[in-house]
Amino acid sequence: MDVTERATTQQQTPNGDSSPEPARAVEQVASMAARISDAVATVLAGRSEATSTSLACLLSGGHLLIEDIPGVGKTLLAQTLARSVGGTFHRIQGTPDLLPGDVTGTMVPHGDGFELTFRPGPIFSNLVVFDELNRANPRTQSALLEATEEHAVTVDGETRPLPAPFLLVATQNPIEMTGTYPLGEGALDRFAAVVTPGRATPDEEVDVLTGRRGRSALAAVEPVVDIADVADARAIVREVYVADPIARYVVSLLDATRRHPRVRLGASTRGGVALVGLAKARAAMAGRHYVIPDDVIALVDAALSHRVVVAGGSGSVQAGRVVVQECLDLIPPPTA
Amino acid sequence: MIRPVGVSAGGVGLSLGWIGGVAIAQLTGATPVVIVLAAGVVVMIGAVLDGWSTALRTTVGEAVLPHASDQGVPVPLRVDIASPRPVFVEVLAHGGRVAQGWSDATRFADEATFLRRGAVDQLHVRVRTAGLLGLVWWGRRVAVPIDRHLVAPPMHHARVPIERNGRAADGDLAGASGAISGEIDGIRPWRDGDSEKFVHWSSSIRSGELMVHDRRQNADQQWVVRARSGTAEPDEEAGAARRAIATGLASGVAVLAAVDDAEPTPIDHVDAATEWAALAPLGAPRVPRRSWRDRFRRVEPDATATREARWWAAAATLVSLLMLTTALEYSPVAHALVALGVIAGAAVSARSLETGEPPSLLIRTLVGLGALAAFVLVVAASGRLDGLLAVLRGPLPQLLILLIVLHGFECRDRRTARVGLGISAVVLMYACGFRVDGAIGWWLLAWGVAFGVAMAKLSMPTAAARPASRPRRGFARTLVVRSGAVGMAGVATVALLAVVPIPDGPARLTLPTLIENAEDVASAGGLAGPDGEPRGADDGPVEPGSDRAPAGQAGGYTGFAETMDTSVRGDLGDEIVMRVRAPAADYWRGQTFSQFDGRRWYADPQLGTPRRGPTIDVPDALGVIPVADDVSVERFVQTYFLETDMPNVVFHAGRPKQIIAETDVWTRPDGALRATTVLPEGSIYTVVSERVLVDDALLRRQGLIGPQLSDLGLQVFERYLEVPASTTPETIELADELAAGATSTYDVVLAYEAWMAEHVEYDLDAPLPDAGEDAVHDFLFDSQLGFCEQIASALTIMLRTQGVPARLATGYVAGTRDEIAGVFEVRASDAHAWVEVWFPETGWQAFDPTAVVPLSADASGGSVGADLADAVGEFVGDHPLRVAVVIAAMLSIVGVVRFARLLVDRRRRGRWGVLQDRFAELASRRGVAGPAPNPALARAWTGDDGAPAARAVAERLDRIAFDPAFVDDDDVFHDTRKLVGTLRTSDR
Repeated sequence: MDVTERATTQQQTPNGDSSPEPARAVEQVASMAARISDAVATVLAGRSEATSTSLACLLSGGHLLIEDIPGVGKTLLAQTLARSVGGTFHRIQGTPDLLPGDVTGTMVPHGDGFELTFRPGPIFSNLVVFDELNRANPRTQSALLEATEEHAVTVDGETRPLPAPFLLVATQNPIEMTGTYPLGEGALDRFAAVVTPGRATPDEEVDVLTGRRGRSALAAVEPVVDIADVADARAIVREVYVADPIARYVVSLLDATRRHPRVRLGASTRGGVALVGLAKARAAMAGRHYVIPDDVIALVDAALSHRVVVAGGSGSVQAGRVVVQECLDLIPPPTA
Repeated sequence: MIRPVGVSAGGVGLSLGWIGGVAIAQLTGATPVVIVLAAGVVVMIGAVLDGWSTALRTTVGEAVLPHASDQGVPVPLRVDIASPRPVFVEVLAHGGRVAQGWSDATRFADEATFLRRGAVDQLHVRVRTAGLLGLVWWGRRVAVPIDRHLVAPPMHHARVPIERNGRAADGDLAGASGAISGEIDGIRPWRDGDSEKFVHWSSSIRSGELMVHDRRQNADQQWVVRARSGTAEPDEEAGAARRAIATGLASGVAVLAAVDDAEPTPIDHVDAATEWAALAPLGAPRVPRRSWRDRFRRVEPDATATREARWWAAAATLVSLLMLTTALEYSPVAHALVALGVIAGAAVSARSLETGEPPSLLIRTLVGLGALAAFVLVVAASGRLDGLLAVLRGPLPQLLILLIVLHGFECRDRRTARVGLGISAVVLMYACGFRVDGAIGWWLLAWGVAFGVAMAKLSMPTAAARPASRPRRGFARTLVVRSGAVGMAGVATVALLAVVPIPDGPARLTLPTLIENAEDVASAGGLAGPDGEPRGADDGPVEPGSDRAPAGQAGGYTGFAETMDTSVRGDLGDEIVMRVRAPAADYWRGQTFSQFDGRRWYADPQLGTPRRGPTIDVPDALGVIPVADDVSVERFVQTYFLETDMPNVVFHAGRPKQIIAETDVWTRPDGALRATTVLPEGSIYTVVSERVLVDDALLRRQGLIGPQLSDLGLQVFERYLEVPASTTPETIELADELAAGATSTYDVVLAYEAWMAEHVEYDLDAPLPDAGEDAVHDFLFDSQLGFCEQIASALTIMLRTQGVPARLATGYVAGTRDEIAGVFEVRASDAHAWVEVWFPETGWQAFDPTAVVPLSADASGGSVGADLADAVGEFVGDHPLRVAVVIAAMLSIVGVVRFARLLVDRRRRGRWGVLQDRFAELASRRGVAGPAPNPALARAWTGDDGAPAARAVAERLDRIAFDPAFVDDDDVFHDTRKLVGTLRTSDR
């Protein structure tokens, strides 16, 4: 232990006065992230990686898609995240007859003169959980596109901004395909990250069955962070430094997915932007004000797998994961 | 089960090259050829064993692939295969190959394409690897169980019979999922759960209760898909059934599937449709019969050579060609042309390897024209030819060189490159057959290095997914391992050669003779110097008062003249006068002398008969008698390569039986052989002799010769029994005294030699006898110092006093053996005179009072290996300092190279970069695979002492690279370096 302590003090001495501000700021982000993930852990059994990826999404301002089989806590993860953050929160259940207006809100006749006034839909909140996104029809799905990209919706020709910060957490079930409308590439590209929480371990399942964790514990979750703090944290995360070699590394990863023989469509530039954003958030969550290759490697799966269209993979994220992992093996990470 | 699976392309060519080498060794008897052949065998065996051990150490782990795939559609496949180096992997399912490629020493990851419909529960993984030289391939087959993988037929557009059954209208909810497909099917009362959309209002109003109209819907339909078994294309049938099922499912119909008339199974999901289509027993598909040619398909996966391998192969070719052209004494221009041709060929073919296109038309035309011109030149030159050797030295190698150079332009794939290397080996050995000089060892070394590297580079996988990062072994360790392997190969070669006898020369061939620009000797049958002038009886010292041999004597030696004055010293230099290729040492006899006048020996005046070359059968000379039945005789073939101009003396050993020389030879009754021309430098001739294998017992049993001689014998050997008048009584007395009591002449000879060893000394500067004094007396009693002529003269005369036929022979002793070239280097100073004594059962027997030479039967035939080992041991023993200096120099070169690498690394990577590399190397030694980010590297250390230090190092390395606020100062650097140092030491 003494070795690391000495190392830290020695680094502080020459560098302490040069960057006190970012260091202190990222410390705040780190403690905030720790608080949220503690809160999530009281409800969601295990699966800390999914939690931290979700947090990175929250802090980087990207939207999150949770994809997994039913009954592993997709919705629970989204809800817990929302509750522990505070701010306004809405949940939308995707069904085939859900209409865009149901999401964005519509003009309704109001008052004595029956003048049309705008009645905001559930999208007007800080955190929106969209359950079973692929069950909603394509019209509704595309209504989300503007919301996710522009942080605004246009109803009746008038563009209305969404509250800031705005985070969309969508869930979908990859197995059941009947009666669903698979998301198009464009829609998928809007999500900064896809996480697959996976099954809990047997011990954690015991916790869920006995009620120590799981949905029953959801009610007890109190907001641990003010929504305004999230906006501040996002500003701090944006300032995290990304060295040129890291950016070049990300670019070559993107390039590798495009050159991969099995890939029909490689990862987009937006994918790279999202990856760097997530990596910044992860760096800040670890108390660093600079991104290291480890951040990129830890998040490349979540950020790129769903953006890679694999030939014969029938649009599955799993096929994308295999490809992205192969690309990762191909490109050596930058070092000193 | 590891078994050999085949030989690489071109392996047969290399084997043929080796066999050609055996033929060359048989024909020429050249030791270097034998060395090359033995080294080839050793390296070959080593490489085969290496491949076998690679296959042995390869382990196949689990295989991972998705649970289903379509026929003919690639799916990712990964098989864990741990091996010391990349191996070639074939994955088989149901007897068909589904994937193949190179592994990267840890795993094989590629796409598998399944062609046969059905379930796969087990994969067969066939691993193939060759040794370092990549000739013999070893295979190994492992069955790997996998989770069931279904291979479904792709959707097919053929029609398959579908029974469409409407289900009963009643009993289902109106408005269940599925599109409405028909008209109103009926009206029935409302049931709980019916959709209000289907309320039939008019009926409801009429009847007073809520009625709904029931429409026929897809969901109410049932399809029974009946696939037919036994069709010509069962896979298409299954694909069509799959498509039908999928279509039904997509339109919401309840689908059942069956084969022919079997009980249908309900299918409720697309995955179930896939499974059903994959497993439906529809009959076996037609399997194309495997052609017998498939069984002999290439075992080596890659066909093309790499550029690097191509250049190394060109280097080997160039060395062998230059060795041949220098042996044949081509002009510098010719050397340059050959070198240019080889280099251009390598460049052209390497370039086309890179681009994958054949060379341009212009280059091909130029090469063709050049080849044509060279060919015409060769043909024109071969017009004036005589003799097979002239062909072997002239047009044949020229054609060979031309073909090899041309081959170089087209040498792109591995097969041709290997065949080219085999040809270069043949050329090398061909050249070894001609060359007898001392530089052969260096040529062999240079060629061996180029050949070995080319072979190793040729066997490397070109298309291999090179392992992204393997734990890099240290430079020094690699060097030690490699030099150890080379050393072991060398020791094994010497050991193998230890059982290979020294080849007995070109006995079966009438080739090795070449005599050019030879002038005829002025006097028929007489002796002549290199200038062709007779060396008559008058040749004494040119300057009165000088006791040195006159200039112009062959090699400064007086023994090659009609007479020899024992009071004239040879003026002997140290230059090499000739090289003799022979299996063992012997005397190379030139002249015999019979008559002695007390000072001067005279050769027999009878000239004998001239015989026409080039193949001359030599009649038995005087005293050469058939040996007794129980005495063995061996053939002894010598080839003489003259290095200076020599007189017309034809040297020989033992009893010459046949001479192969491009000249005519006088065969004289006194045993000497004289050519009708002088023998200039560069002349080559071969003598086939017999050697009588004598030993002590054989000589001793022949008793005292004097009394045995009959009258006829006395008459025949009159000249060899003649004691000069000047011989003093003291001499005779001494001879009698020493011979008294001896029971055999052999013992008499030994007694005389023993006396001389005790009383006289060899001295090249011995004082000469006074004029008129008997030279023998002077030597024995006055000076007691003498050189070989005097010592041999004394012995001869003493033996003659006992009535034993004896004569003086002159020539050369064997000289020093060049173990690699396998020839004796005979120097001018090896000129010698010795005694020949006639024995009634074995004929003339040489005795040498000045040197202890073992009798022929006792001289053990050596072996090439023993010779080589002796040579090496002698060299080390003679020059311990030099060897130590060489080893020290090599070690210091290693050190310098390491230091230089460090400097280059430092310059390239910076000081932190060097630290980063060292950290990554330490982590990779702890088992971190591949290039990994620093935190992952740090996780390699788990202990309490290592882990914090590793984490600190990882963090600082990341900060220096990615943290703009990090200030690089010396203290931090030195501290980090110390931390890395502690990590390194904790590992040890």
